Amino acid sequence: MKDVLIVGAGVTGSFIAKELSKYELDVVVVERKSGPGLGQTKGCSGIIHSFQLPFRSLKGKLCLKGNAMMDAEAEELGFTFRRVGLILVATNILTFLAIPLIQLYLRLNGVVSKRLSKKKVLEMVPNIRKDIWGGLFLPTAGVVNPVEMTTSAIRFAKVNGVEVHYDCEVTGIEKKGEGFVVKTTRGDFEAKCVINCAGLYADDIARMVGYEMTITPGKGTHIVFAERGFSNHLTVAIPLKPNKRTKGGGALISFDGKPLWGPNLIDVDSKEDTSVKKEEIEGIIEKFSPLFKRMPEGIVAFYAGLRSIAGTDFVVNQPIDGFINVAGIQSPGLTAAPAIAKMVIEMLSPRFELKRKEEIKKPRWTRLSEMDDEGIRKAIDVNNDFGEIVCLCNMVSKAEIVKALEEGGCFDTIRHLTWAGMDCCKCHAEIMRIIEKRAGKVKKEIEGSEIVW
Amino acid sequence: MVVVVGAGYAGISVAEKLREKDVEAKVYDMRGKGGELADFARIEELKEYYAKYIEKVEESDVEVIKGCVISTNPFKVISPRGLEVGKEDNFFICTGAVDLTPAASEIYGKRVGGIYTLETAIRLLAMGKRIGNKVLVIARKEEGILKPLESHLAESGYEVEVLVSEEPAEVYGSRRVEKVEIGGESISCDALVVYGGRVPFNPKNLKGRLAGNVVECTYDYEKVEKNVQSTMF
Repeated sequence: MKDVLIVGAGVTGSFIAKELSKYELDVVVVERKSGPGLGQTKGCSGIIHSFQLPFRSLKGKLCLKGNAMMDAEAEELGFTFRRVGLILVATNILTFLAIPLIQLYLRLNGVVSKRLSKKKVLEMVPNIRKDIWGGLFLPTAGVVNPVEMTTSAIRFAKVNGVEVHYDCEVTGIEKKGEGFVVKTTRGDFEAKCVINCAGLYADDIARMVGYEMTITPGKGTHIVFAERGFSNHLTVAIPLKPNKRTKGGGALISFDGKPLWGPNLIDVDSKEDTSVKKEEIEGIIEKFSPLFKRMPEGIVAFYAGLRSIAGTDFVVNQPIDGFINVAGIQSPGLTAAPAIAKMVIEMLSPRFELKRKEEIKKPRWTRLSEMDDEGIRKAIDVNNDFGEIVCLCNMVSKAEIVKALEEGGCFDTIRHLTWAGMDCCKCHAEIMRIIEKRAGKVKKEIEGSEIVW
Repeated sequence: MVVVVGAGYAGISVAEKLREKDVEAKVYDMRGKGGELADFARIEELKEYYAKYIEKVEESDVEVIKGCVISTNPFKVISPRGLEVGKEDNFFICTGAVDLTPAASEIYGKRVGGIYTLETAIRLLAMGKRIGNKVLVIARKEEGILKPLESHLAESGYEVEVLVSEEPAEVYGSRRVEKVEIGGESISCDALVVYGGRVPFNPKNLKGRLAGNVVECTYDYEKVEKNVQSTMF
């Protein structure tokens, strides 16, 4: 019998697995997709938020904690995290006059910010419109690739003994003695504790043990532009009247520096409805383009993700002994994930004697694009494959693609973990050639994988 | 000394012209000789259609150094041999073109498996992969390559429909393309090949004289040939 079974290898499930892997526990993760972070996680904006309103809510508190933990997490797990900062822009006199109040309110809640003159904003975002009034800079906001961040956590967990099963969907849960039998499409698992991190389907999983809750999907659509350097900071206009359900998106930037506009919030009926509508794209452009003098050049991709909404806050509870829900993790779930993991460990502490492992392994991930000349030389010396560039846009080498295959042969996992093929289609076939050669199952991957932008 | 970046049709032609003029040139390519023509050569119908250009590249004895030029100033090349850093002043940038992504080609709807750019589809076919069974090709403008590609797909047992249209399209499907709606019509298919046009492929923004498809951005190699001619004379 396992000690803990985690349903879902999204960002929350993976971070809980990562944290649990540091203790003398027998942990298993089951995931219905073919790789980590390919459900709700993949569709989010990749923003590490400075704060979340209301501050007193669970999501508000976990957001602050998670943000503060992020540098250490990135270092420990080996994913790229850049604190690019967020500029709240006053586009009219009313929001301009509100800046001191916003700053005071943030400061009282422990969030640092810096007032920016109009001149300074224009300097920091050269493409912004000349008629803005000023701004407020939040240096703690940052960007990550959500799938990379999640896969890094799973990689850490696996290296430290956690068992992970993909293409493994939970079909039923039964109480058995002190624990549970979890039925899946890949056989039954017995575990003393079950942690429900099933994202959009967390309500279905909760119902299997008799806990009633409803998750509704809230779609968020994004546009990725090609022009790196259009803005080097997240840029958001201060709204006249805040929306209680969403922060409203912004002219964001992606993990690799491309303009990323969105997300919107659209209630949809289906938990699989990630379709991108023409009107939504037009709506996003209409909403965010007035901030700038011109549009960023070149469209790379559209994508939509689904938030799992259960009321207004996160739902982290233990409705029956040994069954923990980590549900309704909408924005800022990515930011909060490390803090949620700590919270769950505390919830488990009465049940297990949490003894830290003597040796905790730290897997390393090297990114050619982040090395200096000397580093590149050394890397190629050790492994020639570092000298073979597969993706020129993000400077990804064959060595990185081959290494990423350790996390599964899924095309999406490889792409997100390495950042290859994120700008154009030049290297997609080459990536598949490498997968095929190494993993020998590219046929299935071509048919089942998402070769799109 | 002149450095030619890219050993596709343009790079090879430029290098040959330089040789005729007794100018010493080094040709670099991140993958090897031929560029996309090497892929076209593996597909019978495309091999025939591009015969003149493929032969020119295949018959050329210009030496190609495998290596990826990542910067011109300073001159930096990454290859399995290591990282070379040096100084060069004269560059011909012959890095070719890349297809616009499906999003940039006004393909909306679900982002599922089975959506390929024309370029990726051709590469996969050249690798001997099947890209589906019922293929819809949406081209935003006419290109000569569409006809031989269509015959290749038909010959290889695909059901194929080629549509030249500027109407936005919407993809439906759960894990893979199931149907595409375009211009009020609904077409069932399990693969969508999109050709929305091409843009220069020069992500490292290499500086030098641009020649060939990096300027023309087409599948029409007559234009590429003309461009090389005009650049060299």
